[in-house]
Amino acid sequence: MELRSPGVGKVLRLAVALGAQVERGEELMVIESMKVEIPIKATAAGRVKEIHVKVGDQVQRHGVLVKIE
Amino acid sequence: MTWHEELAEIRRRVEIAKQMGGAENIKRQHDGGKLTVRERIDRLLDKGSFHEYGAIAGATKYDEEGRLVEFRPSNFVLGTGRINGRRVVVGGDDFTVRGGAADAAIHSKQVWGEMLADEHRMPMIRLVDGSGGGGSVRTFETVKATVVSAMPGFDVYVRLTGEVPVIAGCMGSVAGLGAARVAASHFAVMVRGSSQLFVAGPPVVKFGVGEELTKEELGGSQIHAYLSGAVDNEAESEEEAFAQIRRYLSYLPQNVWQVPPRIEPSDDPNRREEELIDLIPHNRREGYDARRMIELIVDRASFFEITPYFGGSLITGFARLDGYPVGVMANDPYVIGGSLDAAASDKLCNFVDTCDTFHLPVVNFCDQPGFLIGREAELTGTIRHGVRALYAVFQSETPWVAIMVRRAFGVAGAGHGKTTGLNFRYAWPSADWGSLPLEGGIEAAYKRDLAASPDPDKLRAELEARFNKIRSPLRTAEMFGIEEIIDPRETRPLLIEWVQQAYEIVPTQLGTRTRMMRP
Repeated sequence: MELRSPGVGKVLRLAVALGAQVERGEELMVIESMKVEIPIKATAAGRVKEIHVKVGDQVQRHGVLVKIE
Repeated sequence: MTWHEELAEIRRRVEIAKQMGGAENIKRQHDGGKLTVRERIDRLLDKGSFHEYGAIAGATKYDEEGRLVEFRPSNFVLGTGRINGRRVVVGGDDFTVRGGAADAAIHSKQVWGEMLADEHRMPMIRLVDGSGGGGSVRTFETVKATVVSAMPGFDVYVRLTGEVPVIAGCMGSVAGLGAARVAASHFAVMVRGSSQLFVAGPPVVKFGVGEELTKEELGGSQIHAYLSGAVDNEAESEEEAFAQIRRYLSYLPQNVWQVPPRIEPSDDPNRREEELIDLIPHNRREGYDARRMIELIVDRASFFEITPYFGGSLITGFARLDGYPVGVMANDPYVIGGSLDAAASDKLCNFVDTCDTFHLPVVNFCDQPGFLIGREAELTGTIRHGVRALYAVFQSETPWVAIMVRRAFGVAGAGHGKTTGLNFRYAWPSADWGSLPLEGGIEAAYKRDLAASPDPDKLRAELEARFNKIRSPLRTAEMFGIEEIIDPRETRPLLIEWVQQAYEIVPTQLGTRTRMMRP
């Protein structure tokens, strides 16, 4: 399952590491957009397979952030 | 001399018409997870309320003695019926007969249905399937000439969206004329997995532009309800689509000459929810649940969200206050900080136009940081779409109230209401406004000073501290720049006081707007 950025912004914080087991609704990272901190939450339970961004990266709308299996 | 024989012949033909495309085609429709058009009409309408028109219109073959030997009903079923007691016109494409294509359609029946909604001033419900009566190359076999492309009765469609609710269900794989009939509506819903919408389907797309895509990839609900906004809502099933259609209609009048219907209020107009006093975080960088905010204020369970997944920074929907229907807008801070981008601007324009058409008073919860900025924002023409949204607000005549929940910055923030007139509004203590937000605004206005300073961080902090002293909305209230700052828990009783006033104004504004909307 791919989690994509809902909009343009900057990666502010990463809350999980590769391989972490996450619950549905768990916060994976925070993107800052238009001066608001936007939490990116897992839409289903699983294991973090890929993290495509690091803190400080600029992201575009629909840019892939995290892959969960 | 009686007419029993003739009536019996009509009944016989009606029974044939009810068989639609025959058992095999009906089975194929069911196997695809879809209902037939007659099943759809039956489930949409109040039981037994369907009165059919043109049941025996269709293609016929007669023998030498003039006896009917073959009758294929037209692939469009039309009639009137009731939805929660209210009369509507409903027309649905019959996919079991030639996939809804033009060669088996009789366009005049479809157009007549629209004309009926127009002249009798009733809502029009289109249950679209297949090509919706659109182009089939096979027509050349019967017509024996080519016809310059035309949209039959489109002048009626154009008028209709200014007069009565026009609601479309995209019920199957819909292309061409059918897709147009879905789009030419106030509200369109499609069914996840079993319906698609496209200008043309995969075979034509492969031939014309070389893309090889499945129907779902080209025009499924994840495209149109989420990414394109060509439809408003997504339903999990056909049954849910009908429920959404019925619910959408319940907030609107039969036509623009009638006041939107109030229902018996069942929720205390003086309800003051404690949760509202700390819903908005003090930290301006933190979001909050804007939908929860709406739910705490409007009549319980009355909020029906429209276009939830497209233009997500703006929340739009219908709700009730003391039983009176209203249009509601709010900004979602969790989607690009609530900022208006091109998509949200289009959504706003369309929603405000619809509310204005039906004289639905509008409540606008404003937490607007300004139009989206950045390269993609510019590439999508945000300022042009945004200005158009502002035009929609300023051109609206329906009663309007804004609740200044938090931010109101920039041109987009100025669109919270008609800021040149009365602009009736209430502010919460969390309100935070200006032409440019200080963070970034200071960068812009003091660029030279900061560049020249030996310690720019210190200067920036000094400037911010200076501005923060005057940032409080109370200062704005001192100069009557905001009329009233309220306890957020008072919002519901105050809005109910407003809506009662609004519904004194609405009956004096009935009829069509001079400038009718475009879907």
